[in-house]
Amino acid sequence: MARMKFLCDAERCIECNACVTACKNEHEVPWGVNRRRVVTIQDGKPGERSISVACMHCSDAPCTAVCPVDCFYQTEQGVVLHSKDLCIGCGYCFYACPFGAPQYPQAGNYGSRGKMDKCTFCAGGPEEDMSSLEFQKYGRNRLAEGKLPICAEMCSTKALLAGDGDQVANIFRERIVARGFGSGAWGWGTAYSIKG
Amino acid sequence: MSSCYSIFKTASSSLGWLFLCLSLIGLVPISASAFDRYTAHGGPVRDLALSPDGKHFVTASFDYSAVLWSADEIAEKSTLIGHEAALNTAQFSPDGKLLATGGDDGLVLVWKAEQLPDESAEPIILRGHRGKIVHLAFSADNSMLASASWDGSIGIWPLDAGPEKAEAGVRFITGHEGPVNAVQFSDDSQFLYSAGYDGQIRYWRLANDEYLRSVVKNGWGVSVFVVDEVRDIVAFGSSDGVMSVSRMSDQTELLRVGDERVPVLSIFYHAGEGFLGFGNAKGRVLLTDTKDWSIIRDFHAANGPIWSLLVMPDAQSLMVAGLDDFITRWPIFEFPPEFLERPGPARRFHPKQEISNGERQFARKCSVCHTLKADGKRRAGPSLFGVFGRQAGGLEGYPYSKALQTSDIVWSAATINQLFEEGPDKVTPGTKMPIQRMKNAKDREDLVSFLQSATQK
Repeated sequence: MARMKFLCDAERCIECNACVTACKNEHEVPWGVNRRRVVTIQDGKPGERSISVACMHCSDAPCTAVCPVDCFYQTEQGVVLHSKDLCIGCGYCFYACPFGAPQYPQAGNYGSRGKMDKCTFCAGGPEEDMSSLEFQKYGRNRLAEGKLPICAEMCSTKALLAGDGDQVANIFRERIVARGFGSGAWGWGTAYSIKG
Repeated sequence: MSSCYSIFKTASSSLGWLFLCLSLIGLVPISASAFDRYTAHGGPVRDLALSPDGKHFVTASFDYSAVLWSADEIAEKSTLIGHEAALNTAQFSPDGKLLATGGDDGLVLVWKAEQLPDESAEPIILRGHRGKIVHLAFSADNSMLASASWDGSIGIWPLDAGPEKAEAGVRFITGHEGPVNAVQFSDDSQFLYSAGYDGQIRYWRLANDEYLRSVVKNGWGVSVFVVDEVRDIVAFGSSDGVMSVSRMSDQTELLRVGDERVPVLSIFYHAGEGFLGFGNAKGRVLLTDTKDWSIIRDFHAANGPIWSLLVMPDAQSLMVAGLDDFITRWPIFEFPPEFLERPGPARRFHPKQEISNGERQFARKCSVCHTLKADGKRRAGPSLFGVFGRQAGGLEGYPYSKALQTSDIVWSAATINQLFEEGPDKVTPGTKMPIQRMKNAKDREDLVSFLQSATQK
């Protein structure tokens, strides 16, 4: 079975925020939560880069390691999901994540303390696939529909790649060969314990 | 309730020396060594705050309580109960008269220091935030308290007329994109610095709450920071693993270290003693000398996040808090590098051994807040010892919510099953218990079955 991975090619991201918008729209993400965002480093200085970032669905996910109530789990395809039924909103995952992926809803729909929210790789959650309950809690389950994440699909420069990790790696490898330098696979090594 | 372990203490006996020798040649793991542990809490410890006179410190915990400790003998003095959820932060006022705590309940509680040794101390409750409070700061002139919240705002609570009047005069500053993680007043109390998920340390004029500029634009979220206006430095730790110190006036970087993309979660600064320390999400503690920014200590103090760190008043030891119930004191200068190993036993909510599904459900989903024993160990929730047949809200000594105090539920296999099938918000509305549901009927059945045997009197 394919191991799903994201790759953001920082050499290609133009900070258009289409990925952010597409994600919010596709999943009807509540106000105050962006499951995906574009981070600009060295803003206005030499070496400025923009990086589209969300949950990277890490191989050894640090969110899972700190969660005191075991609400995270990994699917057979390597997608890291969490159960909003079990989450107690402690926010420990927010601090532990090197990508700042888990989000805390500013207007909680789940009681005063809220439940964390995060990118699902468009794979829904622990509810029945493509059910209204799954959509309400986690957003659309595009993987169950046979599709890949909407953010990567909408990326105009194909800076953001999503899919079978081997295929994603091959595409990036071809780019490196074509352009002659290897930088850009931001966070790949951190997430998947592979040199980027 | 406090206990300590130290290989140096152990090593004073012949068995201890044997253990030490075996450790050094690798036959016995040398983790869990070279430090002292103190346990008062029944959940992760999120913050440490030292009183201005150095005589006491306070720990703020996931277990809904704060604990006052004497700093010299590290002895628990009193427990402060008042929050309705996990605590994230504690801070003494510069004059030492007040202690403020903030938590997941969105409340700021202000405690009068003279009442702290009294277990029945009643805090002043300040309401207004719509999200959890993660950091607090007093102004140097003791006239204001600032609160950083994940609702995206900064609360400014006036204290001139006393903390009782603070809620009436509160105002909220907004402008950060996303959660605010940390705050600090300027030395003259006219300005405020704040750091957030948006990667910026912003600078505000308090006369009109105007955003003036960003002292730091990091891109990745800034979790912790400290500003020393006299020395013209800003130090911060970020979610991408950067521990940075730079001059504010020209942004010259004086120190930049850290593990690539291991979030930095804690910072400690003491201008007088010349210490600046950072702690990260993988247990790394880095202590620097502020005179030349040389590294004094760089070691792994925990198997997990370092939520808070504090150089003790003796300037010889460092107190560290993390995902465990205990806090750990490490000597700063004395112990040899051979001992700088990553310590830490498996936590009760991280069971490693093969156990039944029911026990696993309890360990992973419930044990962080509940104990099964009758010994009254502190937890966020009440002990489940003898829970079957017990009236909800009926365990003497546990500070239940009003909702549970007036509940007519009697806990049984059926009602506990119902609690997790429908959720505490439906079965016991108004409870302090987080909303958790277990949708898998088999898991619920196994959990109830395990509890029936494990909680028997």
